[in-house]
Amino acid sequence: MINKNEIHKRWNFSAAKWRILILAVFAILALGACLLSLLQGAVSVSVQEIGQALSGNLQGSSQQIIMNIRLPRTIVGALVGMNLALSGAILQAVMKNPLADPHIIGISSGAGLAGVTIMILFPAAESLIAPVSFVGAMAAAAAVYVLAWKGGIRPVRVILAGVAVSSFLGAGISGLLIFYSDRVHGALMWMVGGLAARSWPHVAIILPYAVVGLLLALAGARHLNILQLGDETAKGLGLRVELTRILMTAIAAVLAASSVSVVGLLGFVGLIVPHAARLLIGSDYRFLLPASALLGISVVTASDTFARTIFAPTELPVGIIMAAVGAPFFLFLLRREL
Amino acid sequence: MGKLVTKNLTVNLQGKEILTDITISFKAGLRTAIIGPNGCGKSTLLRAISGMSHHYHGEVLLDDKKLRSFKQRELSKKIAILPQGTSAPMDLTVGELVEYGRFPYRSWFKGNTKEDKEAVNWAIEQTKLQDLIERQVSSLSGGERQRAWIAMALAQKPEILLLDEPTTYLDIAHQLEVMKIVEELNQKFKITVVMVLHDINHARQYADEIVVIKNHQIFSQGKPEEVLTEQMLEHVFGVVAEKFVNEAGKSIWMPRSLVEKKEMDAAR
Repeated sequence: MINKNEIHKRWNFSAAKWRILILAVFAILALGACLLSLLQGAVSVSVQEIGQALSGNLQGSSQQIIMNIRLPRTIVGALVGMNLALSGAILQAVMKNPLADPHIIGISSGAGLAGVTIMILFPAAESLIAPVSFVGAMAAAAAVYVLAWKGGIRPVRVILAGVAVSSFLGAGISGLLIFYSDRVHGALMWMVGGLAARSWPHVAIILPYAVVGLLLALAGARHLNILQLGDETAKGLGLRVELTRILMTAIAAVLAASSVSVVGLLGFVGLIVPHAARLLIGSDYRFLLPASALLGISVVTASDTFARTIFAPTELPVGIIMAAVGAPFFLFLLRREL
Repeated sequence: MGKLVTKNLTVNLQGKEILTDITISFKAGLRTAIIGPNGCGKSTLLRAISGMSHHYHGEVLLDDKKLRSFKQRELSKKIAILPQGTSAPMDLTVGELVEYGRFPYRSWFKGNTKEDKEAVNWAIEQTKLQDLIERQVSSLSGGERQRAWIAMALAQKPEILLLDEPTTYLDIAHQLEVMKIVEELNQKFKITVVMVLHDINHARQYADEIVVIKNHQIFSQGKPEEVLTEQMLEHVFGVVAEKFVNEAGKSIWMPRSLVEKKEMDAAR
C-alpha cells in the first residue's frame, strides 16, 4: 500500500487527521451522488423542489416523481451500494484474501438460481423474487461454509468451495435459461443487476438488514483488525477466531443477500469499493468500514444516475455501467498495488 | 507466578501421534529452551501450553489451574505467544501493531485507557522501538520486525512469554539482539520464558533449563550443562559434536559430522 503514508507525510498530516479527512470527503461524495440522483432524469427538477418535496410542501407531478420514483430508487441504490461494499470489506478480512467478495461465498449464484427459477417457472409469483432469492443466497453461503468446514475453517477452502458451489448452481441457471429461452429477457436484466422501478417496498425489504448489518459490522471492526494478523496471533490475543469468522461471514452474507435479492446480481461493488477505500484510508477496519460504506453509496448512486441518463430515454442496467467502469479501474488498482 | 505444567500430554493430529505422554514442568520466572530435531513435536508442545489448541489428552496446568478452564481472553492476559511466520497488513504501523496487544483488555465501551497507554509505552521501550513507531511493519528489517512482534506480545502484560523459533531467518547480530531482549525481560520483570530454539549454543547461553524432545517424547530435561552432552547430540540429532570451553569457562558446541546411519540404528 503505497500512497496513504506517502501522502499524509508529504502534507505533514497525522494518520488520524488524514483518515478523518478522507471520511469527510467520502461523506460529501455520497451526499453529492445522492442529490445528483434525485435531480437528474427524464424530468429535471430543481434543488428547491427537492427541499419542498421532502418537507411536504410540493404538489403535482414533480412531487410524485421525487417522492415515489427518484427518492426510493436513490435510497435503494445507496443501501445496496453500502451493503455490498461492507460485505466485501468484511469478507476480505475474514478470508485474508484481497480478492474476496460476496460472490466468493456463493451469494450471487444462490440468489441467481432462486431468482431465475421464480422468474422463469413461476412468473406469476413475481413478488416472491426478493424473499426467495434472499433465502437462496443464504442457503448457498451456508452450503459453502459447511463444505469448507473440516475441524475449522481455512480461507482457501472457503474460496474453493465457493467456486465449486457457484459453478454447480450456475449450471442450474444456464439450464433454465436454455430450456425456457423465450422468457430469458427479464431474467437476464436481473442477472446483470439494475435499479429500474425500485420503489418503497424494496426500501422496506433492504433497510432493516442495512441498518442492523452496518451496526454489527462496525461493532466487529476491531475484531476484523485482529483477524488480519493471522489465526495464531489472533488466538494468542484472546480472539475466538472460528466464532468471529462465522459471525462476520454471516453478517457479510446477510448484507449481500439483502442487496442482490432486491436489485439482482450487481457485481464488482463488493470487490472494488473496499479496495479503493483501503488504498486511501488504510486497512484499519474502524475507518475502512465506514469509508467503504460511503464510497459504496457514492459509486452505486452515481453509476445509476449515469445509467439512467446517458442513453435516455433508454435505461441501462446499472450493473453494466459498474462492470464496464469497474473492470478497468480494478486493473489499475491491481497494477499499482501488487 | 507463571508456572506451566503438563501432565501426560498426548496429541494426535490426523491419526498421527505428535506428542506422547509428556509430563513436564516449566518453572515460573525461568527461561526454558525446547530443542529437538525437525518434526519432533516442539511447536505442537508450544501450541498446547499456550492454550491455542485444546486438542490433546492429559492436562496442561497454569499455576495449578487447568488451562482448558480459562477463557481465551483471560488466558491471553497471562500467556503471550510469538508464533512463526507472522504476517500483517501492508500499511500497519509499529505503533498500531503494539496497540493490538491490548486487545484482551479492551471492551466495546472502553476506549484507550491510561493503563493501555502505559503498557504500550513500556513494551516499546523494552524492545527499543521508540524511533520506529510510525514506520510500517512491512518496511522493517527482519530483526526490527521481530522486535515489533515481541512488543505486541509484551503489551499483553503476560506472565509467560512463548517464542517459536524467534531467531530463525535473522542475521547473527539480530539473533543476539532478540535473545538479549528476552533475557532482560526475564531478569528484570520475572517473565517466564519458554522458547523453541534450533541453535544449541543459544539454548546453552540464554536458557536456565533445556528440554530435549525426540520422537514425540521427552528425552531429557535439566540445566544446560547437564543436558548438552555428546551422547545426547548423537542420539537425538544424529551429529557428532565437539565441545570447546572458552575463557569464561562456558562450553560451546560445534557439530562435526553426521552419525553414520548404521550407528544411529544401533544407538536407538
